[in-house]
Amino acid sequence: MTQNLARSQKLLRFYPKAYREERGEEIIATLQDAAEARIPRASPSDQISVALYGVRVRLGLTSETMFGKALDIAAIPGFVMGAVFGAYLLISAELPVVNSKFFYPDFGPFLTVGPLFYLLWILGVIVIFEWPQYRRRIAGLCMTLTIVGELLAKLAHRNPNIWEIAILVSLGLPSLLAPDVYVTRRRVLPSLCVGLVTFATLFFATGSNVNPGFFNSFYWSGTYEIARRQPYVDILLLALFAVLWFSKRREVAGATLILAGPWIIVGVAYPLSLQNLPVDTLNVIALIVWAVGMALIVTTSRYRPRPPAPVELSTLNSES
Amino acid sequence: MIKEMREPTFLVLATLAEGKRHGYAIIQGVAALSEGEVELKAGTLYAMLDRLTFDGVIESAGEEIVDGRLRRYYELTSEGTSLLGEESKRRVKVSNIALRRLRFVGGIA
Repeated sequence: MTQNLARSQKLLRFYPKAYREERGEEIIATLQDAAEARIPRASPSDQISVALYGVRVRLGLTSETMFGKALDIAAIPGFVMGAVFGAYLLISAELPVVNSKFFYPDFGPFLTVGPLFYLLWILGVIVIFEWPQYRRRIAGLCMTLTIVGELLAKLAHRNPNIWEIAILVSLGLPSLLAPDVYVTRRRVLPSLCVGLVTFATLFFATGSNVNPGFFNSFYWSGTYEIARRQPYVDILLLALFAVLWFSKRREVAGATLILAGPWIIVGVAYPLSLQNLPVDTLNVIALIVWAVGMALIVTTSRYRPRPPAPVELSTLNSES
Repeated sequence: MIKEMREPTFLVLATLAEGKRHGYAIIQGVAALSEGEVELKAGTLYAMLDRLTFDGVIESAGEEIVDGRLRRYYELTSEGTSLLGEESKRRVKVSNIALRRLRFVGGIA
């Protein structure tokens, strides 16, 4: 039992100090009770769940915090945004390359394998709309397969566009990290609206001056166009964030910031990765504003001890 | 848009409907109510207790030390009681419709 107690106490290190002081002894007692029921010790899954919740509390990823609420709002719309981006890559990048009369072995993230992963994201959206309670698992699966797919593509001497893949995977993160809620929320209409706006923005932002038109391959100019036109989108996103923030719809504002993150980061990181491409000043300003906004959300989501609940020891003792 | 309470939450609230319970007693109550189908992990339980407390559905109902272990008790608030009542009625209503339909088809006597 002493060993169990020591192990339980170690698990509490995952929690912030204030939480440990408030709930630590209670959690240890529950783990000890569970250990007695499952001799010789508490199950590993019990211990893992306690440790994981500790990490969530430490990072402010619980449903009571602003960060948690913003992630919850961003989760399904973010996944839909990812699927729409996948669909856009499919019709605007993969198909033109495959249908091209020229052979371009270095274009497209996986060439003909890529569409399978985009279709996986689209299928994921359908499954999440039907069974939102499995959102986390589906997002995890889609993100893992996309990353593994990219690594395999590299092994097969393809030239995956890491920036687009990074955007796609990042848009699945809110679904993976959002806390569980006790009602299942589908958010079909807002999510579809977010998807529609994303598609329209991509359509207008990545239309190259050289090769205008819908079926202009994304990989010839797509990322460049995103980075080049990103400032206009950034201004709109940050204006939307400001309006929502000051109209006290702060969780929705937080969700807007979370979903804008991958685009704003790529808008700066992509030109930086190419030595001959200048970074737009507005993109840098947007990144700074984004980072400040995220820091604000994360710091306000730190665990704070609750006021002590009324204790009625005499009543409890007489009942026991 | 459909909003439905998830099964583990419903089972926790249903366990607390019987009276105040401490952490491990809630885990046992949920296992008993679900006939062993739902086994709450300790981390999941505390995530739920934090969330339900924050939302004013349950509240702390005192604590005591038993065999050197701190036991904090939880009970339903009036809001939690009405929430559980509404959810139970909804589930009964849907179940009754399903059962009526099955009888109509002739599957169940």
